[in-house]
Amino acid sequence: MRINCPVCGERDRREFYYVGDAVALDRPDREAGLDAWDSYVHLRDNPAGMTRDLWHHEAGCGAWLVVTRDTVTHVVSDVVLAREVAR
Amino acid sequence: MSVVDLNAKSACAGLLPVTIGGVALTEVEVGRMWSVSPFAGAGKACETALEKVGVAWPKVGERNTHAAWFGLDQVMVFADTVPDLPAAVTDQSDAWAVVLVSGDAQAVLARLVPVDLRVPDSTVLRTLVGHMTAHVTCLAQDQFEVMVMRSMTETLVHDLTTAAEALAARGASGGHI
Repeated sequence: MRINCPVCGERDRREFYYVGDAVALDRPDREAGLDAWDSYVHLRDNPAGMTRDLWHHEAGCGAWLVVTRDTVTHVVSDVVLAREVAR
Repeated sequence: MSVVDLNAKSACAGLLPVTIGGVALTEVEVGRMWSVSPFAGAGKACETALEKVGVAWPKVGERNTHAAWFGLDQVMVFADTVPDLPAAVTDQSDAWAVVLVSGDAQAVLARLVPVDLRVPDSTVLRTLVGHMTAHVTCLAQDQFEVMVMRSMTETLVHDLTTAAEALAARGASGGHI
C-alpha cells in the first residue's frame, strides 16, 4: 500500500502511522449534547467500502493527512492535508 | 579548583571513517544549525528576514547553500546565528549525526530506504533508514548525506556498514541487488 503525501509524493505505508477515523476533525460543540458527544467519542462505522481516516506521515514530513480509501479494494482515492480539511 | 579541559567529541568519533568495497562512510561536521518553524501565517516574514542575512528559503524537498527543507513548515538553517524570527527557533547544533555516503551510495541506501533515490541533486528526502527516521540528501548521484538524531549514530553506522558489507559481498559495484 502506498499513500500519496501531498508534500512528499508517493510513499510506502511504513512511513505512516494510522490514527483513526477522520471524525476527529469534526469535534462537536461543547454544548452539543450527550448524543453528539457519545457518537463523536465512541461510535465508529466499520464500512466494507469507502472510509476516511487520519494518518500521520510520521517518518516523513510530519503532516497529518486525511486519506480516503476503499477497505475492499485497498484503493487510496484521495489524500489531503488535515489542516486544509479542518479549516 | 582546576579548570577541566573539555574536548568536543563529534557524533561519529571512533566510528567513522570506514571504507567498505566501493562505499566510503565519512562524518560531516555541520557546525551550528537552527530549526526554524514559522508561526501560522509567518512563512513569508521568515523568508524575508532570512534573505536579509543571506539565507535563501529552501523549496519543499530541497537544500540550498545555507538551509534545507526539514519537514512540513520546518527548515534547518546552517549558520552561526539566526535573526529574530516570527517562528519557533531551536538550536540544533551537535544534535544530529551526519554521514556522507559516497561511491555506490544509491546501491547501499536502496537496501535501507523505501524511496526511489534516483532524484535530482540537492533533493532532501524525509524518510526511513532501516527503522530510523532520517533526512537523506542527494548531493550528487554518488554522494548522499544521511542525517539522524545524534542518539541514533551507532545504529546508523551499523545499518550503513551492514548494507555496504552485504553489497560488497555480492561482489559487484553496479550489481544493485
